[in-house]
Amino acid sequence: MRALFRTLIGLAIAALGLAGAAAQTLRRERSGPDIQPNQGSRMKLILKTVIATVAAGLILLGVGGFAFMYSGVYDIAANEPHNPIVQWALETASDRSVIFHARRIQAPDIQDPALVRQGLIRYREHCLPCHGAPGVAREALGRGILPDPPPLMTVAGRWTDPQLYWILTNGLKMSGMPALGMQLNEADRWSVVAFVRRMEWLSPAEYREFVAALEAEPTAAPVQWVLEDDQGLTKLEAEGNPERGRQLMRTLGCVACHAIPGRAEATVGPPLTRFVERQFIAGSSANTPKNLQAWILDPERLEPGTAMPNVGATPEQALHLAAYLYTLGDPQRVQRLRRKPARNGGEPVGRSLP
Amino acid sequence: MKAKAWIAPSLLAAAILGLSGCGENAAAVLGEQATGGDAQLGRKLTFRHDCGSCHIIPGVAAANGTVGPTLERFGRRGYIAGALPNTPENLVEWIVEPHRIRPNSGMPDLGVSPDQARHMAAYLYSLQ
Repeated sequence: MRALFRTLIGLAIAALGLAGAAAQTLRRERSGPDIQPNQGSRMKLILKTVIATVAAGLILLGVGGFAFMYSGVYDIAANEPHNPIVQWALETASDRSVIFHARRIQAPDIQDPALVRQGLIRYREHCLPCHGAPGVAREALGRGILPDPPPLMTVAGRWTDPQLYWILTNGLKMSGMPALGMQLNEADRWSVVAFVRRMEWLSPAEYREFVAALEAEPTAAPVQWVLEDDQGLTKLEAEGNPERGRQLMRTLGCVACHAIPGRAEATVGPPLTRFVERQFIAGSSANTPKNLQAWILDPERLEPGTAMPNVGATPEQALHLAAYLYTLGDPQRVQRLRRKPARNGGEPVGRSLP
Repeated sequence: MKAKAWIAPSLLAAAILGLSGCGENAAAVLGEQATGGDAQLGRKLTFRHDCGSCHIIPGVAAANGTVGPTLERFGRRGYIAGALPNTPENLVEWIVEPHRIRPNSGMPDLGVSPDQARHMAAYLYSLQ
């Protein structure tokens, strides 16, 4: 961030310099010439000067840019971050390109247990080494890459199904993302999209159950390849009162341990900043309305040994608290619990960096 | 006239650039005293281990992940891993082998060495 700040200051200084030069030229122009040329030739002179200045500037920029590039002083090392402006330019160009190129792709219905199961097989072969999975680190191959291969459980939410399909089919230049279109057939590629969508709501333990089910090992409960309901979202929106939840944060003592931007400063537990965007609660369960209420009602049951106390909330109070916490951050993430498969390129989503 | 025109903006820029660095050193010293690590090196390692793909970490490039909790003001945090007191020893152990402490945690084992973890802890404790 500071580098961006400095670059902006640099640009501001350059702009000031240019403005000063322009002002000086104007002043000389006004007070100066002894000969009074007629209006027409004066305009011509100004036009000529402008064109010559722009042309000279462009040539200088080109020569300078080439000299800079060819000198090799620009640091291409992946273990230092990009200049934020370079990063912004690269990401924006890449995002816009994906949105543009995926616009005509039609997505099939991917809410299909068999498809999700097949997607897990392909995901583990082709994606896991670089992107990891819930509770599973990326392998050595995927470490130290810039841009770093993002965790798909959160990042996939920025894209529509067709956009995800396009990215994994065609890859992304200069990012390390390979084009999988050569290795996976169309059905397999859609299956990966289907699994990635499901992964958004998988806890590390559930992910292990999925893998166990794949390998035909007995699991505690039959795995839910496709989420069967909206995990309490409809009830939360219908009956939860965020305003009452906000008051309960005080009366039940939540703010004694948790910071909320602009409201509370405590640092005992983690801050609740942008809580609705958080992937996991208690570090181990998917952040859904249902799990959040269960966590508030009885923390010890979800995470034995946790420092989070049971504050004695009633189920109704837990609902209001959850409704309030889900007002913190971008609600798009939780809205996807209710998603219907997009039938076409859909609305451009793209990156939503804070 | 020409030279004078440059004085004000230059001074302003210098002042802003200079001020942007203040206050961080004192906090870094706190973190280093607590851990025996090097906070600046720790900041680099935090970037290189891609901690920012899951955590918001002030001062680390592109660190805006929302998988795990934000690490803002981490130096003041009471507990880590939801249960352990936030001491340098616990933090290093947690970074090196999270699944030994909490098998079901979303925090993965990233292959961080104890030495690297100490530097990273020094940086995290500088976040006041």
